[in-house]
Amino acid sequence: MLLIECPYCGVRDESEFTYSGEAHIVRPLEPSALSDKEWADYLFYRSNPKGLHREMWYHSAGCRRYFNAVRDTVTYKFKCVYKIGDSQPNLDELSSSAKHPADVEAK
Amino acid sequence: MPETKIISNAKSPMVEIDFSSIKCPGSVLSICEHAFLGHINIRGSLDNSKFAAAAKKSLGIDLPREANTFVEHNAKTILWLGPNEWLLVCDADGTANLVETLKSNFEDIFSAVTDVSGGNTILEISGDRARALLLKGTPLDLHHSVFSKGQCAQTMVAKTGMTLWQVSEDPVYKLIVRRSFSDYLGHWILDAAREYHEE
Repeated sequence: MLLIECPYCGVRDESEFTYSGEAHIVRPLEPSALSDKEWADYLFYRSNPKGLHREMWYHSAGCRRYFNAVRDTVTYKFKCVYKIGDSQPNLDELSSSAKHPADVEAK
Repeated sequence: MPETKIISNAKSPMVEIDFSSIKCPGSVLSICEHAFLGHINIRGSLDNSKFAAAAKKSLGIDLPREANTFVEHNAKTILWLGPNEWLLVCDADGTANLVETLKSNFEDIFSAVTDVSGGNTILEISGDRARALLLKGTPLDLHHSVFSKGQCAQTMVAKTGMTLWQVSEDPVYKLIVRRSFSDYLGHWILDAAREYHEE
């Protein structure tokens, strides 16, 4: 069972949450000015990193608020959560930050 | 002020569920339904001092600001649902008047007041086994060191969405479920309580 920290409600079970895709994707201000390729890039193309990924989560069974999280796609570990509108955390700092004791033990 | 009409032939959403069929002393497990109460959803920002003041003027008490808590005042329970959302539970008779009072006090303030009484019902579960019974169906940590009197949470029990709050340390829990799910949840609870029956 995966525990996820909602920035509003605190730590809750994964089953209360819904994944909502990559975060920080901004809708173009003038869609009609875009080429088909640029529009398709906005609409369909997403980064698919092996490692840290900024993504949106929805606390669907709880407070029903969206928030952002940085999650490691290899270990499924949540590195941090932050509210919509908060500044984006630096991924380099998060990946180099001291590992959780459990990570060290696992190796 | 609009009058509240109580429909005389109204049936509780759990009319088919007989909680008295749970054969054990009330101190072990006791379940009852509180149907037909008033439920009012309130939305607005406490950062807006006008909203906070108007809410206090209408309700006689501040809206709870702290996450996962509720307050009780004059037979009203006000539950924190989110950073800008609360649920007020009150007697059915006063619901329409309270909605009108809130709406008039919130006039010109960015907010929303919605009477959602028809969609919900409330269960009260108490006794030594109440916590164990709920834990069969919910991922919420109900250990007294984490969840105690005065706290509330929105989560799931047996895949049904619920708003749960702890009234006393005995423990006594109250949970709000949607009336369309309540018959299913009632049957689930009767089944989950079978192991606590005493011959």
